[in-house]
Amino acid sequence: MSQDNENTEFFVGYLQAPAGISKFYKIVVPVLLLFAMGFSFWVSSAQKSAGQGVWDLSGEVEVRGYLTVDPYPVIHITGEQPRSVILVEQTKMGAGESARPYANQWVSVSGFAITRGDWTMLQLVPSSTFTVLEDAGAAPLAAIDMGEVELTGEIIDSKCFLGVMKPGAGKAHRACASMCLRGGIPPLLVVKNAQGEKYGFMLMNENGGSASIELANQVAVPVTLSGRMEQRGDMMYIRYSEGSVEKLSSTSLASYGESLAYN
Amino acid sequence: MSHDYVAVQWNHRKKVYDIALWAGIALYIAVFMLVSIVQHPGIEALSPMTLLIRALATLAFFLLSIILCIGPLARLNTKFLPLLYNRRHMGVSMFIVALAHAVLATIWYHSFGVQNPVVAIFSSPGSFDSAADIAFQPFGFFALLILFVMAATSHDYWNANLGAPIWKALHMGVYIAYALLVIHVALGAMQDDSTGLVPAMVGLSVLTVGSLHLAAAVVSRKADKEIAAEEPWINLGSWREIENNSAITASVGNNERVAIFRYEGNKLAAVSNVCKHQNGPLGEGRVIDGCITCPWHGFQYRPEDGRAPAPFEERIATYQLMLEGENVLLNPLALPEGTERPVTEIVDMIAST
Repeated sequence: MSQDNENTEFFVGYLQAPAGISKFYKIVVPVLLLFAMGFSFWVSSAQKSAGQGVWDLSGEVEVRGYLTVDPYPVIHITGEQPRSVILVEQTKMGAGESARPYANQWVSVSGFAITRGDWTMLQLVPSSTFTVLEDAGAAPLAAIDMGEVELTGEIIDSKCFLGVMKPGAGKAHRACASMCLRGGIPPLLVVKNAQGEKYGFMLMNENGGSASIELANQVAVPVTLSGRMEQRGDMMYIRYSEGSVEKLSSTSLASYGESLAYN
Repeated sequence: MSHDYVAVQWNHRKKVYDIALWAGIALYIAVFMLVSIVQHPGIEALSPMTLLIRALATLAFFLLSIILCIGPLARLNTKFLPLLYNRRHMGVSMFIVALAHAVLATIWYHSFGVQNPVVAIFSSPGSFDSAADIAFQPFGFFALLILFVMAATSHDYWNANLGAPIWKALHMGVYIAYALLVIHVALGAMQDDSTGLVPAMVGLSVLTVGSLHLAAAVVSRKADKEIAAEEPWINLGSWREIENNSAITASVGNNERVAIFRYEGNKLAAVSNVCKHQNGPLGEGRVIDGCITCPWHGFQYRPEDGRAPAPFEERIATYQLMLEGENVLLNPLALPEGTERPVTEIVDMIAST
């Protein structure tokens, strides 16, 4: 079949393409490919940093210290460089059940380290076992009352935010954060001050218990909340007042979103 | 056309089309990943899974926007017909990219927890108090469902068995999917964005798709001669307004459109404007090798009787014409599909030219 000479720009798939059309696409296709690459560059380069969290899967590390489980399992390392290490399971689950039998004892346990600035978390693995160490008495972990506070920020799940997911905050991550909290991962309130410095506070309920499940629907949106701040080991907690959590529709989520960095 | 169905009727042109398309897809993802790795190295690195989810999401939206532009572009300028010829492959490719995004996002954000991952898509926290609080995942889920139905029925087998009107109505669902995806992005990624990039990207897409559709509708409407179907014979004006091997179109009421072709210089024939294959606009086609040829996929019909040449069996309605001096008169009552009627010849063509 031959194409009518008058139809120089009419394309039919099973016929030879008119010369004008072939020439057009020899220019258009490379231009479109370049445009796709340029668009990709534009979109990708607009992504912000998700902070300096690290989920180190290169090897297990051992943590030795005094274990407390309320409101969340934490191993307190004492000595010259005291540090509190939050324990979580390997999925979106807290480590409360695994740790509770060893509460208020000196233990050692291994897992993968998750670190972000001053924060450290240990992700247990199926082979993780708690070894009770020689009893050295209770650790000096008295809670220091820091008074009433009212803060504005974003409630996030600590595991993802500290380094497992980057970014581990914001709306896109919200369903994951909610699932993590429902699994018992400790909730963290991330706030920033007028100078743009960011701080994280572990949240617990008025009775000093886990607030994970009750805050699962209030993650990843701007909120204000009030309560009493207290220091335990080297971590700050807020014993938030029931009913004080208020979602803020007027505040841009982006200002508390993925660009947050704790350190 | 009537034929045995195969998965894909490959030809050289389709292969070139798909190679260029998938080269573009691969380049897009590679550039996206590479830029992020260079920009956020070491301990600042974003999760590779998150990067991939974002790359696939923006790529699927980009591809869908292009797909929606192809139809009106081809109506405005026939140079874009080659993009339309294999548009279904671009549609299925876009669905594969969107599906990959959805699967990875479901694994990454909704799995390994206390709830079934699919159930978790619908139980994401939220309320309708503010845009920041509305769950965005269900909008994406339903958009993907529509795109799945479209991709699954994109083959000519479904086109032929459902019939072009049902098939086309089903595939108009792409506009619902697009609207759902705009909402999905506006309530999701846009809420995390402080750079203005996401609103710019979505706004540009909606503006381009919207304005091209509007322009194509205006041009198409302008070209249409509107006439009332009740009149027995309608004057369409001089045959000189019809380019040889091309057509003018007329609306004759009840959404019926007629294409009036001039071919072989002095012959006139009127047929339904609607191709049996995918309801393509025959009036925007050409007469090639003596057959009216659809601009979309090249389906052909004889102007004499509205029947596809053997071995094909499609038939379209034909209409009667007559000449009154130079003026072409159309009888707006459609004859049964495939009805042969006398072809109108311009006998005094040379004398009047």
